[in-house]
Amino acid sequence: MSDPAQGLKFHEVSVLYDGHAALCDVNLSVAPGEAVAFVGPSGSGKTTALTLCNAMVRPTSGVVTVNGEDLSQVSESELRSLRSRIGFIPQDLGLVPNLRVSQNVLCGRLGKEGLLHSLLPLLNSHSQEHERVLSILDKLGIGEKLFHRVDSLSGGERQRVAIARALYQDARYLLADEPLSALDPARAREIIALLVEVARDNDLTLLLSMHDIELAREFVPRLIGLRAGQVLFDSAAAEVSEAELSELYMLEGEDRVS
Amino acid sequence: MSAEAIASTPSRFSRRTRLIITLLFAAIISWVALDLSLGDLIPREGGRSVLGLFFEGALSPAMTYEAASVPPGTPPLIDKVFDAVWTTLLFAVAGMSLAMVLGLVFGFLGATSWWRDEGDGSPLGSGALRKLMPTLYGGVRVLIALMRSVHELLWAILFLVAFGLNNFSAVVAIAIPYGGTLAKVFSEMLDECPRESARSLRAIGAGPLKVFLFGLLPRALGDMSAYSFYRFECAVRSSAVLGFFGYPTIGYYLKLSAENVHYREVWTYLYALIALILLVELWSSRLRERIVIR
Repeated sequence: MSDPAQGLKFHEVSVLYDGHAALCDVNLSVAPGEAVAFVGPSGSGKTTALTLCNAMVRPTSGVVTVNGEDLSQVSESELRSLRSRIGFIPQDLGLVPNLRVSQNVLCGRLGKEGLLHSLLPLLNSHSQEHERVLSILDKLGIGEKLFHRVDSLSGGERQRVAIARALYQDARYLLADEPLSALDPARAREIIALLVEVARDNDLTLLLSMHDIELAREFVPRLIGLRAGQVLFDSAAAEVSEAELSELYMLEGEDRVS
Repeated sequence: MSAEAIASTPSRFSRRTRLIITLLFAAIISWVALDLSLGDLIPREGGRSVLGLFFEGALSPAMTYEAASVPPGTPPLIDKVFDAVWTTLLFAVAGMSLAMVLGLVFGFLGATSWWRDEGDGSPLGSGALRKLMPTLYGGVRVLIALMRSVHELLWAILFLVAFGLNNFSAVVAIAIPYGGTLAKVFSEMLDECPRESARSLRAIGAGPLKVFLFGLLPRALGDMSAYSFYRFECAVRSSAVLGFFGYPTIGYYLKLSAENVHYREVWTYLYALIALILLVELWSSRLRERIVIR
């Protein structure tokens, strides 16, 4: 478990978009099985940090390694197989709204299996794979929605479908970008608790980006505070001080005064 | 308002004014050059009686042959009309089915959203396909443009000369321009549909074909089917008109009757064509309502 080659590492990582720095010299490492949340205001680089982990974004300089593999060195086909082991829930969830819940969940294995093997269960709703999908959905509390179309579901239910797709993928990592942004406060609590719980139960390394610092502090063991692309703090949730929090959310320009 | 915005406002306004003036001039020049005058639409002595005869036919379409005598063994007119309607429909279905195959294949190859690198890694990997695809794509776009730029009636003339008057030449004459149009519209629908599903599948390692099948196609399928039904309506009209070249669709009988000055028969065929098109439209609009998901 504590093999240093395992887990995820950023070494001096910077990302520039059109000359503007989204991330600046970030160093961090996440051990297998950890649950970590990137927190900070809008535009602080949370999503960039998250999507560096599956190479949806490439660093301008520095090195990102996943399980010891330098993401900038792997070939396109190796990258695909690496990505198939990293679950990803984008902020918009990336579900296909006019397909059924079952079909969306089955899409989780598209990176792992051959075309024919992934096509058959999608077309045959009595396949064995459906049993597995159903058991995952049951655990997430939406088993009865198996054959419903995604566009008929509520925001919280859709979020659960996206989690189910990532669980069906059988990944080692789970990245979730702003998973609570479209939910009301009660639903948001449920979903963050669920994410942390399924990550622990399935031995997944969980990385989140969140702007709700209170929920992050309550549910996620480790927080990395980002501000203007730089790491402001990286510590256990209980050790994050009020001073650090107010600095994190201080408006641009205020810091010049203090 | 910034200084640039203020400076650019009058120039944009005058550009639009210039465009409107140019278009107006084009319209006026075309009317003058063609020497069009509304007086040409007033029929002369002889024309007036023919026109009267023609519109009389509208009120009393023929139920039997207008000719004084028909060769023995000729089927009743109504049978012939139903036969013509049926054949018109057959040509439309056959032409459209081949057009769908062409449209789907070239629509897929003429779209970029499933293979182009959007900054998150090339979906085609690093092999030969990655180098080949832009060329293949360019070739397919040119092919699609060629297929569409020639009207089905001109394709029919070409195939009549090449293959003679057989049914297959008519089917291919419909299938080529229709296949080109379907391919163009399908590829645009695939490239313009929301990308987030495709992106989320690429993020978990799905290859380009799977991204296409599960991330893009389902999102474009509703629009693609609705458009296909609309094109089928057009194919019925094209099939009818192809009869003017001798294929046994409604157009063929319509032309024969018109040449024999049997205007009441002409109206029988016209009404049959209108009924067929209305039926197809009714059916396809019902289906489209069910399919398009918004």
